[in-house]
Amino acid sequence: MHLVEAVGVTKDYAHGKMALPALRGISLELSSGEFAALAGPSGSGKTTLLNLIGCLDSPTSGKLTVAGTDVQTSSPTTLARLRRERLGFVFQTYNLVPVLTAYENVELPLVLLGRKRDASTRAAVMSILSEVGLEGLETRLPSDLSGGQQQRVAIARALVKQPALVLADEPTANLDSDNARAILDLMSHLNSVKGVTFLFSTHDQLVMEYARRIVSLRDGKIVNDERR
Amino acid sequence: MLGFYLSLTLKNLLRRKRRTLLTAAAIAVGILYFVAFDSMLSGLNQEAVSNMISFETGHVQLTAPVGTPAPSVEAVLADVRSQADVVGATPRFVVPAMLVAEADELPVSVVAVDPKSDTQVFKQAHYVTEGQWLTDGTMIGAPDTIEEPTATAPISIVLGQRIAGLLGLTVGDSVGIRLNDATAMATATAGAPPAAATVTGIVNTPHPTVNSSQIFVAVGRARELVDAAGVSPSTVVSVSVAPRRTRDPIRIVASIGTIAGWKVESWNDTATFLAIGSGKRTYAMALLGLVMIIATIGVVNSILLSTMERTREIGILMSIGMTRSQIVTLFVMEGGGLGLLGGLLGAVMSVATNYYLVEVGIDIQSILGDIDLDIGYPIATAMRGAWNWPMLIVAVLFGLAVSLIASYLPARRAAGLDPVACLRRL
Repeated sequence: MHLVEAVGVTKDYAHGKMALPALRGISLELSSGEFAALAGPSGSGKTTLLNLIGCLDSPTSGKLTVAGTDVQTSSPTTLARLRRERLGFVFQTYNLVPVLTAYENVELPLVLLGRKRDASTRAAVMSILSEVGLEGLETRLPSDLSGGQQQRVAIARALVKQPALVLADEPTANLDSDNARAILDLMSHLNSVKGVTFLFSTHDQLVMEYARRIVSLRDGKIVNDERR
Repeated sequence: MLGFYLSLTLKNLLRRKRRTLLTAAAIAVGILYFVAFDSMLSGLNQEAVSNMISFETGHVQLTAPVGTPAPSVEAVLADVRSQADVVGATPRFVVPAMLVAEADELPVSVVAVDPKSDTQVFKQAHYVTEGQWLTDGTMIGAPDTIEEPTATAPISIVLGQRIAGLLGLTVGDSVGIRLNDATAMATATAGAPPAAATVTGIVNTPHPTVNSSQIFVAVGRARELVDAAGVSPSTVVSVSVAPRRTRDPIRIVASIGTIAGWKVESWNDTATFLAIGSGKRTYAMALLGLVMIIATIGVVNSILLSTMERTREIGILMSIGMTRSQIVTLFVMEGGGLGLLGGLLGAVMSVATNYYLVEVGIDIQSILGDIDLDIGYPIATAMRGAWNWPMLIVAVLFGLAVSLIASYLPARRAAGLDPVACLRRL
């Protein structure tokens, strides 16, 4: 069974009385352990597809299953649980909670999973922070971290609960090339060593160099699906 | 989980310190207003009741039928004094009169008291500021117990300080007393010269009526006056009871029982001003509601602004897996935090303000000047508050509850946001 299965998925956005199609019949399968990228120009539907797979939005039609859960028919609470337990997100603008320290931001998904704030949780958080190279910065607020460091915190937050799938929306867009490469090295390493599945949306050539599968979209349709 | 929520709530409240403080201050002022108003009302009532008991009625008043002979009164006194929990009983009667001081005349009430037993029930004797309290006179029904002065000697009187001030009297001054007919309210002895009297004491009590309209005369000499004027006042026996029974007037009256022809009333039966207090309390509650509406608007505004400012953050929390109910909880806890902070601020401010109101009070006379204050309450010139801890706790809890309820709607609005739209917000 595939981690993600999309069959004829469409997504329309209402614009006044008009329905603007963002996705037009997407069919896609994503398996565990993949390191894939959704590529395409702005407006091609990359982020929309990523949001649907991330259960942040639901398709207008078609069938989308994520980790065995039908996205279209599930309740908001079920989808929230799915996001909490199986999915991790990394955003372009890091999206950390500004009042929480790096440690607390990473700890947050575990707290939501009902984990006690004890020694084992602390060990898990410190371990992942160390893994992304943020040892010693755990008490800093996001505002006291550089863009690259914030993105590392976001990655640590996405990975700390050991999700089935990490969805990364333009994760390198706000980083310089050195930081971008470092982040991609880190993700690639986690994919190879820990088997974490990654799905990016990007139009960054660097990300596409790292990706082992590139799904190209244009005008809401998949125009190419290339495996390397 | 709760610890995390609390920590996040505190951090979010500290994020906008000024807004948090202003909203909490609105709640605090609402609580302060309510507590202070309630304190003043409670203080008014307490002081009024205390003054009425101490200077007017005692705990229980037994009114004799007109024309009751002195031996009957004495028998009732003996009977009442033998009751359990009764610590004192004294007879009094009151007749209207004119106090004549040279060319000036002032309508007053002559209060005939038994100097020996009056202090068992009433406190006028403790408030003598000049001269001394009455020492001469006789006991009703026991004419031999105290030496009676000669009928020709001037009558010793103690008068209220305001009367003394109005007529320019001091201890040792001579005045005249002319009794009125109590029933016809006509001056029965208008043609006769007033009875000679000497001011032997001046009292300044917390009861304005005492100060402004009462003169005290020993009952034996007062009897001479009423006999001469042909007036038949009704004797009243006032009773003082043990402290543990003072707040239970119905049981006091019941324990004394009925006495043929006599009217038995507790202090509570005669305290008509308590009804005024009850009306004012309803008014205070209505105003509290108004203040709390203002506080509600403050909390709603604060939480709504927070949800709008943190729309993107709401999207992040949703993407991490926070449910709608958890988002609601997060913002409701912030509202609760505002309520708690406002409640604590309000409690501190209320205690400080109430301390002043209880210990110092509001001096009405210094605000309004030297005027006759008849506001339906037997209180002195300073209005004092009273401690009412349960009401303070109620006000704080009410502020907290209002904040929690007020934050629910904006919290629900936040939880209902589309996560994708939230994440798209810059």
